[in-house]
Amino acid sequence: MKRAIKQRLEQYFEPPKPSGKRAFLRGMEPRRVNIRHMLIVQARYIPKWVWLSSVPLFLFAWYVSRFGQDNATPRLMALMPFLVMVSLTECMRSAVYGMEEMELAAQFSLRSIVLARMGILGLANLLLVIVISVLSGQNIFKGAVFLLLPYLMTALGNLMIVRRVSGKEGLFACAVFAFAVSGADLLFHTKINVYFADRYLPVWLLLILLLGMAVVLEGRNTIQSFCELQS
Amino acid sequence: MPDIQEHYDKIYRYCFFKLHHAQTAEDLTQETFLRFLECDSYQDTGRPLAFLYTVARNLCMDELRKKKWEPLPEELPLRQQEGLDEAISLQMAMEKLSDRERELILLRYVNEVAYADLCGFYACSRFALYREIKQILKKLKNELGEMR
Repeated sequence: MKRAIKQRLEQYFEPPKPSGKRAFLRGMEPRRVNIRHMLIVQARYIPKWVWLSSVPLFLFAWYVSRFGQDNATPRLMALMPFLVMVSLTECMRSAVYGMEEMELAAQFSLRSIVLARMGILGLANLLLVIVISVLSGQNIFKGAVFLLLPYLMTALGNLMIVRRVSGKEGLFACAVFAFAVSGADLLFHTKINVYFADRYLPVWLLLILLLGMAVVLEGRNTIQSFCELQS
Repeated sequence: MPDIQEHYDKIYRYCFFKLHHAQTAEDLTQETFLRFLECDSYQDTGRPLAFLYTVARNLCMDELRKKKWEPLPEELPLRQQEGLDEAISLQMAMEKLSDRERELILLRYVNEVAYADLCGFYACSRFALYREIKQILKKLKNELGEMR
């Protein structure tokens, strides 16, 4: 077709200028958010009491290091389940309070939110474990292994509970499980030097690796089950 | 996924051609994109334009049915200042074409929709479409020639 005729056709079919185009296109633009911004936003949503819950653990570790308490490790270990319980129930808050559908309608996907909160609190807890291991005055590696054991056990148990029991009952069951692990730590504190002797360290290390893998798998399943509504 | 910004004007032009009413055409243009974006039955065949135009056409048909052929409030504007004679003769020639023929001219030569998309839109073969467009162009040329 000749260019001149094409131009005439364009003029023939030319409609009046659209009035709402800019506003419509602006409304359609997806807001791009980088990971750093998302983590900051999610960190702000974590309540202060969750952060404050790690303070008693820190203070206790500091007290142990300052005044040289005997048998401090099992006591520190007994506190770890509560740290997990507070962090995990915060990550799974939408499931505990039955608000998954509400979260699914929010700006970020529920999967990203749960992963971001797990990442933030998991990293904070890991730093705390390292600090406590240093403060407890023993070998950092050994201290971290002992502290991670109840931590991972509680994490695995709580994840399994959260996936199977919804609502406040789930929260209650998590608390009961955390108390059980904590109680078991205190119950066996007299035998701690026997069980956690250096020669058994590889066994505990292997157990921690297995527990870590199980926690990752269970965490993945839990997030998938949350996001079933979205798929 | 078509570029919304790129196709907004084209879909709007198509809706305006069908309805001859700017505000309704714009509303239906936006509705077309919203329907397209929320439609989960569309399988991505790499030809989303045919689907987009089909949504627009269906919305326009619904609108026309609702209006029951009320008098058209707005005419296609004649904006040509220079070469007014040619513009008038083209308008007269275009008016001698049927609605479908005008629609084809608009889609193929103004909105530059590819033959593959047009085949999907009209549910016909590429050859049949090509032949039809060729005949329309011939008819248009004849009309324009007679006027000179």
